[in-house]
Amino acid sequence: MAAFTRIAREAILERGAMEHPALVVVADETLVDEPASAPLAGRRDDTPVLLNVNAQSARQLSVPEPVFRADFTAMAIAATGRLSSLSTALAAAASRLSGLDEEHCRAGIDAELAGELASRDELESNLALAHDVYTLASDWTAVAWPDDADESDVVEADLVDLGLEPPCRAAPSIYASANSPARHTGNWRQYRPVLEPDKCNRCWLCFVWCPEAAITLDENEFPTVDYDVCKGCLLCAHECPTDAFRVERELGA
Amino acid sequence: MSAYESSELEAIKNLKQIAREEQILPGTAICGGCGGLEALRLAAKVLGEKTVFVNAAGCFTLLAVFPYTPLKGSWLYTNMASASAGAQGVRDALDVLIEKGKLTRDEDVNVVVVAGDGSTYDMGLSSTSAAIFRELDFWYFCYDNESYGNTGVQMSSATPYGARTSTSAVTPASREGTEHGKKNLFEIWRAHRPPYVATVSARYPVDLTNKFLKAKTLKGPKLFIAHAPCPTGWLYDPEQTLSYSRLAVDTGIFALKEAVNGDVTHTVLPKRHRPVEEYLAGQGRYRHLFEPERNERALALIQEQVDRYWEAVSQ
Repeated sequence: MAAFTRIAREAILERGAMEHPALVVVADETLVDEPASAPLAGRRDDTPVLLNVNAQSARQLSVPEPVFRADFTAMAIAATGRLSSLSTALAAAASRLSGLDEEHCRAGIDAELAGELASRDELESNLALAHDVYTLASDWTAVAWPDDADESDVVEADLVDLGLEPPCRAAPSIYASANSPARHTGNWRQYRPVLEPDKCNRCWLCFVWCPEAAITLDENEFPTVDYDVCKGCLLCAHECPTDAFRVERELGA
Repeated sequence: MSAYESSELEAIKNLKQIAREEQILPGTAICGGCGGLEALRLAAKVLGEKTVFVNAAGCFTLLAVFPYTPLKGSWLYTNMASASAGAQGVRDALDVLIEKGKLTRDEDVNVVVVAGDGSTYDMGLSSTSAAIFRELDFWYFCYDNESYGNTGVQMSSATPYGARTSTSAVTPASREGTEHGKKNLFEIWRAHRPPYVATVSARYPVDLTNKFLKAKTLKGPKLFIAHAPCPTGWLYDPEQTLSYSRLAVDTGIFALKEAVNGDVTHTVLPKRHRPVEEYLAGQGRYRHLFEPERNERALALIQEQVDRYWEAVSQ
C-alpha cells in the first residue's frame, strides 16, 4: 500500500510503498471500495484497521476484524466545528491504538498545531477532541508492534515479466476523449448541496460558477447537481442569492 | 443557445448568454473549489471543442491523467519550461499540414497553453518571450494561484509580499513570510507588444467571456492571467473561493484590464476600493499579519502599493 504518513520505531530510510503495515488508518470509508486507493492492501490477518465511518450511513463494508470503527468526522465537527480537525481525531485514535498515553498525544497535538491555529481556544478544542477520542477508545486493545525489522520479512519482488514487446503492443492505446466523468469524485464530499426548487430563482449563478461543471440546467433553467461527480466544495450554496441550497452531511462519505 | 454559438464573436451582455455546453468535464483530480479551474472552464466554453491544450507541469496536469481526460479535444503535456515551445511545434505542424492540403482550414484548432504561475512567471518565461517575439498565433492561459501549488505550495515569483508559503515561512527573522513583491507579468508580456494581453477573474464571467471573444478576432499571441484563488494553498474553506475573487477586485489588489496592441484599458472599475485588509484577513497565508499581533508596517505597505497603482491609473 502507499502511505501518506509513516510512523515507525526504527529509522525510516525510504518512503512510499510498504509491505506490511502494523496499523492501517482509513480516514474515509469510501476509499475501502476504491480500487485506485486500496487502503487495505498488504494487511495481514491480524493487522488492526482504524476506520472512520459515518454513523448514519447504511453502507455495508466488509472489513475483517480486528477493526475499530467510529464516526470521527462527527466527533471533530462537534468538538471544534471544523472538518479539518478530523486529522486530530484520527491522530488521537491512532496514538491510543499505538499504546501512547494521552499526555504524549496532547503534547504532539500542541507542537503540531501551535503554529497553525489562530487562537488558544482552537488549540483547546482540538485537545478536548483528542480527550473525547481517548475516552471513546478506553477499552481498545493497543496494537502489538512487530519486533524490529526482521530480515525474514523481506520478500522477493513478485513481478510479472512483460518481456520486450514493440511499443504498439506493450503500451495500451486509449484514445477515448471526455471520459473523466467515469471517475466518480462524488465520494470526496463531506457535505451535499441539495436544491430546494421553491427558493430557486433560476439566476444561473450556481451553474456558471461550479468549477467542476457538476451542475447542469434543465429545460426550465433549474439547476441539477450530478452527485456522482460533485466534490462538495459548496460554492453553489455559499453564492446562491436566495439560499436555495440546503447543506446536508453526506451519508456516503 | 449562447450568443457566441449563434453569432460568433459578438460581445455578450449577461451571464445567461454563457454557453451551456461544457468543454471541461467533471471527474478530474483537481481540488474542490479550485478558482483556476473555474476560470478555465468559462474560457474553454469560448475556445470550443476545436482546441489543443499544451500543458506545462503543474496543478492542471491533473486534469488529464491517462487514461482519463475531461476534454473532447487534445492535450499535450510538456515540462515546466517548455509549454510555449510545445505550442510553437503544434502550431507549425498544423500550418504545414494545412499548407500541404492534409488538413482543411475547418479542421484547424486553437493552440492554447495552460500553465500555472510557477511555470509562467519563472521557468517558462523565456520560451514564452521567444514565442511572443516570433508572433506565434497561440493562446496562453495562466492560472495564477501565486505559488507552486501542486508540489506543496512553495513560493513562486507570483507569490505576493506578505504571504506565507512552505518555502517562505514566518520566522522571527522574517515576520512577513514572502519578502519580495510579485512580478508584474502583465507588463512583462505587454512590453513584447503582443496583440492581446488580459487579466480575468471567474467572479466576472461576462468580462472573462468577452475578453476571450475579443481575442478570437486577433491573430498572434493572446495572453491571459486568471486570478485563481486556491483553498489548498491560501488556506481557506473551498466554498469561499468566489469571496476572495470578489474581494481581490473590490480592494483593487487584482486589476481587471486588457491591452490591445499595447494600449491598456481597465474593464472593471469599482467606484471605491475597499481596504486591502478585507481581502487578506481570513486567508490562512496572511494570518501572521494579524495574529498574534498586527503587523502594521506590512499591512500599510500592501495598502500603499495598491493605492499607488490606482493613482497611476487615474492620471
